[in-house]
Amino acid sequence: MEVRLTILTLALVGGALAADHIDGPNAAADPAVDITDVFAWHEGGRLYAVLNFAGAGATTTTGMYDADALYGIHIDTDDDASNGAERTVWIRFGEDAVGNWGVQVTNFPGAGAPVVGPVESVITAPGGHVFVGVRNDPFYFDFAGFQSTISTGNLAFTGADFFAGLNVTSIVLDMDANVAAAGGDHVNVWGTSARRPITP
Amino acid sequence: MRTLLMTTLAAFLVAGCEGPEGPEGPQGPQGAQGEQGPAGADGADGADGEDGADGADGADGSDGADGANGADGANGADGANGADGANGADGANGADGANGADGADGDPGAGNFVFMTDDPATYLQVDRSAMPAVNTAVIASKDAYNEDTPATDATLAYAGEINASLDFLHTALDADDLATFTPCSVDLVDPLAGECIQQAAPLVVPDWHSVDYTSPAGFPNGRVPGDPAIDITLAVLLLDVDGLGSTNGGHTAGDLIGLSQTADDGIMLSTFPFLAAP
Repeated sequence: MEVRLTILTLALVGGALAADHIDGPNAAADPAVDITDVFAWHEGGRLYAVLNFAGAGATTTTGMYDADALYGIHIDTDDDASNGAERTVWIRFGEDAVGNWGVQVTNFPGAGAPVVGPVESVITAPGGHVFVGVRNDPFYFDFAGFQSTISTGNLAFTGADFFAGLNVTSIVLDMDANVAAAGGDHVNVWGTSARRPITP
Repeated sequence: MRTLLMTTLAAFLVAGCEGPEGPEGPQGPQGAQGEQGPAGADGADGADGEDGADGADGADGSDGADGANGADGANGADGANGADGANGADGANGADGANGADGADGDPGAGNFVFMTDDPATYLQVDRSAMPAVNTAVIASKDAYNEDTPATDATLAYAGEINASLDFLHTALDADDLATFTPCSVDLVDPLAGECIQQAAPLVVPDWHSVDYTSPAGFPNGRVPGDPAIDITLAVLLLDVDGLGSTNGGHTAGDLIGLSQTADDGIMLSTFPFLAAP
């Protein structure tokens, strides 16, 4: 029984560490571009999207901002995955001359020009809002129960949140749902992270 | 003098760090005190400061000047020259000089964020995510999957390894831990014929969050922070759920809710940005 549950553990261990934490060696080695969770939902004519990164393994009390990282919130509106997203909102970080970090959001629905503002502050954009900053990791999962399951050979979840008190760096977008859907009534959303190639 | 000021203005437009402070025009009344027409030229200096507000747009452009912008920000101090115009009590133009004071308000370079300008297409994708735990639980080629796209998902390129992972899970759990449930079935010979993958594929392939505005929000209609997305996904991967796939085992997608997830510690905010502070 323990042997079989160990196999299960190997299959699920990444999931235990968070919804997308430590899901691949390359991402795990680079916390600034290691996505932990992506959320997307609609409410009252708004479309909200959240992309979290730099999770439990890199928890800090300040956000993790990297000028060479690029984050994408991809929005498909035609249900055709083969042709990619109809709109991708790109997010980058940059510093000013005195070391303050800011965020730049391009292709924000309803905003012609890039949306720029400081991190750790709600930025009002044409047609919505942008927030970037360190947040309590909203992912919850009973990792301790999972470990107990492993050691006892029986399912032993208690529901306790292993991720209590752990932080992530969050990108949160508040968009006009109709504009984001190009006039339609649904969208398909996913998030990506990327790194600027080092030029020799 | 004029040429110098215009040069300064040009640099200031690039720097554009004081834009938000434009509203500070109250010093205008001081200008009204004056009557010396000729000094109106100083007032024009103030106009330079006002243009600094336009410079904020330049910051948006951000494609330019990079590190040098910090120094340009210092030019905001030049805008302060306009303030001199106001102090000079130089006729009505002095009011314009008050605008120049806006420039003085800016810390050199502060708020003038500099961003990389490389084409997104040239970046190297490291990670991607939508449906929680898909990569971690049922994907074997994890890095390749992270660097891939929903377009590839849609070709069912990962269906084989998803099915193999489902077989792993069921071999480990069905006979005992899931003995009180009706598990879905896995077909290793014809992967797409298995009940489990027939249930799972519409949920996780392609790997994106489908958000239907015409139905209430809540996983799997999008994913709201706090949704028991893992337990719902586990049910779809492990149990024979009614209405999914080709057979109905009497389960719902909510039958495992509470197994591994109860409640998050973070108090969700009712308003944007929703996620709680640390």
